Amino acid sequence: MLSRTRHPGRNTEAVLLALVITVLALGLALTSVGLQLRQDLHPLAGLPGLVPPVALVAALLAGAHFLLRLRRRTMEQILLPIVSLLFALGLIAIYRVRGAEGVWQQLLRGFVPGMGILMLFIWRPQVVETMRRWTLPLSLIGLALPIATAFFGVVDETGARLSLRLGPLPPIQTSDIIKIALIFFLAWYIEREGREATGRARIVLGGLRLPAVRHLLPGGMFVVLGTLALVQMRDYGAVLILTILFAGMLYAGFETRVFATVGLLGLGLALLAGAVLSVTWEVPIVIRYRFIAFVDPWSDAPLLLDGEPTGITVAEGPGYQIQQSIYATIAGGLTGTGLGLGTPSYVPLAHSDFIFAVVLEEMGAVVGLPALFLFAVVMLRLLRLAAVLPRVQEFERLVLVGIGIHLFVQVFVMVGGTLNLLPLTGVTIPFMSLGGAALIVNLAEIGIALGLAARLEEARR
Amino acid sequence: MDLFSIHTLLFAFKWVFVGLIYLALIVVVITVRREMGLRLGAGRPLPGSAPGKLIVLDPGGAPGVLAGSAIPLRSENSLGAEQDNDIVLEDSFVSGHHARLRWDGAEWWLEDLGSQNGTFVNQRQCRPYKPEPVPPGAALRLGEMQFELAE
Amino acid sequence: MRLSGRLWMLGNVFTLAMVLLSGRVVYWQLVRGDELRPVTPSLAAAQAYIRILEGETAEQQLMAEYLAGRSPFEALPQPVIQRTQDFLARIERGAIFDRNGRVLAAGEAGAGGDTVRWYSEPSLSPVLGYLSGLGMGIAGLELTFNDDLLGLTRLDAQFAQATGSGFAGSDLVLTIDSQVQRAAAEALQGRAGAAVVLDAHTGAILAMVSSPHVDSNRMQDTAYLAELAEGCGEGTACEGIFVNRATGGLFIPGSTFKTVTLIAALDTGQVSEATVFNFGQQRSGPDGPYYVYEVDGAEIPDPNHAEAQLSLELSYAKSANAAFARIGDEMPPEVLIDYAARLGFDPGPGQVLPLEFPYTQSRLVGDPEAIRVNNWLRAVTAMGQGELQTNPLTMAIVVLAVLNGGDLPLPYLVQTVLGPDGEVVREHEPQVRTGLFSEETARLVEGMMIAVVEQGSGRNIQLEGITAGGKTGTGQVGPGELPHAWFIGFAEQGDRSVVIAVIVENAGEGHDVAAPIFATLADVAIRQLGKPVAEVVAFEQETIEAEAPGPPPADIPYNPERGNILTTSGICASGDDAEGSGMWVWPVNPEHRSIVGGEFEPIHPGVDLGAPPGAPVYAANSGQVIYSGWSSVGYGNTVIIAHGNGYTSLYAHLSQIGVACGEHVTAGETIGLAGDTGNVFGPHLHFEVRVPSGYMDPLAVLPPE
Repeated sequence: MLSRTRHPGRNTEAVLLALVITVLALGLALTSVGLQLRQDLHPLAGLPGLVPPVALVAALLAGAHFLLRLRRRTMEQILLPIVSLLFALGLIAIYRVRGAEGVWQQLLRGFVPGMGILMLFIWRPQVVETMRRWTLPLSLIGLALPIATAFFGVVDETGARLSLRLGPLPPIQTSDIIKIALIFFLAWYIEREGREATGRARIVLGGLRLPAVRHLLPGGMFVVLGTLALVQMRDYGAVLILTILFAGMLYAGFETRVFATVGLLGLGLALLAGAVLSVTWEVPIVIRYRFIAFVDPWSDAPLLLDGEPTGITVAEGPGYQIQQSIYATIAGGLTGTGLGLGTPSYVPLAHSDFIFAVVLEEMGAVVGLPALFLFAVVMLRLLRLAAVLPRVQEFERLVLVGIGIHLFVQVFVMVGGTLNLLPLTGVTIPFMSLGGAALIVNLAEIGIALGLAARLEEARR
Repeated sequence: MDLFSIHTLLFAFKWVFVGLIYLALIVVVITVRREMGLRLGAGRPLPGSAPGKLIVLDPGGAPGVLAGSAIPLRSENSLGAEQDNDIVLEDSFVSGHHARLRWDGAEWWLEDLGSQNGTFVNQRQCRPYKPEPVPPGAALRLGEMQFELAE
Repeated sequence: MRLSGRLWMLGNVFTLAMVLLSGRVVYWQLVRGDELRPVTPSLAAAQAYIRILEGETAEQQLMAEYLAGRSPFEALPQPVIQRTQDFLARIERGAIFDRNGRVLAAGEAGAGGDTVRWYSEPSLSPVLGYLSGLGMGIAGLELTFNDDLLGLTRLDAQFAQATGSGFAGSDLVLTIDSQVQRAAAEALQGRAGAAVVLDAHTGAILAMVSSPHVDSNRMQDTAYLAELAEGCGEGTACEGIFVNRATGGLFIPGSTFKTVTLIAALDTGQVSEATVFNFGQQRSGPDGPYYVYEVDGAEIPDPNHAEAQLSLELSYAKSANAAFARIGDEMPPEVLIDYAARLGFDPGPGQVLPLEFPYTQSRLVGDPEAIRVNNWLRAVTAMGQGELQTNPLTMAIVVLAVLNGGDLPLPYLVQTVLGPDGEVVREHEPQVRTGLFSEETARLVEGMMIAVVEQGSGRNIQLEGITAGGKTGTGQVGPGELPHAWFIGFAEQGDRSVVIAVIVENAGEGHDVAAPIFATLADVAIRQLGKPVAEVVAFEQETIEAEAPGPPPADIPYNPERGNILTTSGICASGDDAEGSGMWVWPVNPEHRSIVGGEFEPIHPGVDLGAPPGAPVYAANSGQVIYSGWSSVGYGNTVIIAHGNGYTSLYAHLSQIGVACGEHVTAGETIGLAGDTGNVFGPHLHFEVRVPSGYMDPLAVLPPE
């Protein structure tokens, strides 16, 4: 051997995971003491109840870590710790606003199954290969589920159908599944058809290149059907994610001129659809007022329902949650109010959509900004992994890109909404928000990334 | 007073909490920096599958090297005068660690490692530490030695 | 190549987006933070919002809004209100004491925006202001010293705030003397008017009254506010109830202003002790004979004396209008403007006195140019009419400067700011404006003021052993209305010296109406100054003997503002069938029967018995336990026992509770152990005896020791 092969093991990951578990335990403990003090109860009384959840998280993380060690993997040591750190921050915030009940819900409905899937991908990286072979049926199921939900789903208190009950299982939020289905479908489709579509594209309007209709149709159909299902479910946040995912993956997968052509075509179609809709379809009141609330959360414009005044203003309605999260951000300041010592419960949906406001209020910008940094690191790691994969593995590369875009859209849209940088859209923040299906999907995505890293490493040996 | 001290303790531990997060952050940053020494695009090579060799056009001042001889390439090759290089070039105008040549699975990349006399691809000097793609058949010059990159 | 370049672009987009989000956090916290700050400790925006409500018009408008069902705070976003209240709920607002340590205001704003703050001296309402949560906001010293009362000026409180713990605000010790204050309030007899009493050496304000005024204790009582609003339309007698007339009123000063003219004339050498005024021919009119001073063809009548010729001293003592009109006429306008400004009338930018409480600047004239060109206006201004407007505080400041040889110790109200452990946070630092006029002028004016009392318009002031001086004033307000009666002056005995300014509105002549008030206040104030300051004046409570059957009237009635959470929540048994033994026994062993700290008084309607932790606590009478457990209002572990006939007894701060709710107990039975739970500074047993209408003095109920 002329080149020395170092075998660094996974010590970095071990150190980081130990840190994460310490952070989780300390954060939960501080929150518990703070909450107890506020209620004039014994400060330490809440601590014993925290041992089981922390132990469970530690066991699962250690399980994943030793599984990786067992398989003698050395690549990609920071992805899992970062994700678990973000999860830990989210769990502390959930404990703050929802108590132990929320913690257990997050662990049992999201983290445990999610980590199970993640470990499956680590243990058997070939599963990705299998999924590639079975992409079409799998993604059709992923498409069918939301469509079924749109018509047969469980109606929640706001009138939206977001989850589907299948037999004895707890209801699942199917809009999370369609996103991963779309990622796989597009990756598979672009790999299969992309080169050919580009090669046979007709030249239109000077430089633009239009692929043949038969190359475009299946992908377009998938997206349109999914979008319609989500609109029917009134999950407009998911529509947004789907659209950006679609555009982003086309961008990553197609040659520039083809992408530009398809993009322009899509834009034209969307405008056409918008023009038709603006006449025939009234913009849902939710969207309209969310936009007003985005422009001015303190607006005292009256809120109308079916043209009738409801007696409340935008500031008291859709602007209220934005105001609350802005004030939470300011109240937190640089260093935060201290765990358990702020008043984040004032923020509506503090446990799910607005969890970042809780982090900013009680832990301050000093933790909130690093969390954003860590999100960026996760996304860039996914892109980097895609970049170092051999070019022939186009499917895998595109899946990684899709996962990266998916995480990005979720973080940007929801944190942007929380901070009034973007109109508010109800999506969850990956790894942090309380939400079963979303967390499982996000963890599975990380599992896929780790699995692909493992495949790459196997190939290099 | 008891309450006060507990709050003080909480305050102190809050900073321990923040400190631990930053410790993790520092480890992450260090790891990323170490691993991201490679730019995107300059992917890690797949061992054993590097399709190419260097054909010596001009041995320069290197003793015992014949023009026309071929040097087999691995996916990653360091070139220089020092003995720890993969390919040792004992020309007096070649720096200790002169350049690096690597295969990313699709094409060859040449990176000048800040050499004294520069590295040239097709008579054009490479910028130090900036990997450049090298098309097959290109002429390379390091010091007084000249090579052709053959498939 | 294709994918790699795209990945690079995507990576840039991701990074840029995260940077944007981070920038947004920074934007809210740094750029918009101050604007939206009320959620954080400084409360600056909330205070600024409240401040614009100052002044009577605004306050009446505020009241109208409040009565219309709208809180002025509703303009603040709901999140701000919530977070401000949460912040305030963590703070135990400081109390306000008078100079003798008597409680003037105590308690704090409740979490729901209601207040349980309680004010013991109604006549101080205009000075202390009020704290009414979300109803009418906050006013007076409560507002001016809000940061101190919340403790925010203390480092330890700021640290406690940072650590998220609750903390106590600072207490204010005022210079007010309750006895003088009460005397002043009584002297006004409910008439519209105001008075201030100051310590002449330091400028400390001993009393400040303004009547009529709102009742600070009732600022949350909608019925009371409605009543006020009804009786207080435009032009009615109760105008100005929100204004502290002593500092914020604007009245015509009448002849008291001659003091200012005299100071200016003497100090510039325009007149001297030897100056004599001839008044010419006396004329007779329907109200008696009078002299006349003619200026620019106009006549200024002078009915105040019979003599045709008077020295300067007697002109001042008898308030000779003609003499002062002449001084004013002959005085260079700039001199009058300058001296008036030095003494607080239309002060220039650098001349405004930096007092620690808000006050209204007095006015010399509407348009300064008029006094330069119009000799008549200057003449009438010099004798105290014209367009002058002032308040008792400004007139007291004039006298204060005379007594201090032309220097002015700035009047102040807050002597000390005390931390929760009694440590001094801030002590008043004397501030003196020097050289308002010469010492010689001051000496001469002081002598002439004494002459007013001895031989002039203030002759009816009779004070034994006290040297008094002053100036009467009668401010003409218009035809058909009685003039404002003024008296400003000082009283000295040994090294004690006070300055007093009194106005009674629309009441008549100064020497008839205001001078007797001055005399009363001078007497009380000089006596009070002689008492040592540390003496604590206890509330005077009359003990009314209980008459069976039926519950007796309470020694201290329930204060509706304080609320009484214990009797409304957590009561587990009615106690209706409870029967007392007819004999009260002490709830603690004989060695623990000393009173520690809290005595029986309105803000502490029980006694604190010095029982160490673990000492047994006995039922003071037979009965049924109707409350047993933790109390959220600071009592800690608490037991309440009903004894029949409406009596209940309460045992607070217990370390252990030994009886269950509903249990019947006999007198002397052990019900728990003493401790230090709840809001306490140390272990003791807080013991209360309650009747339906309020609290009984436990020491009067229990057998003599």
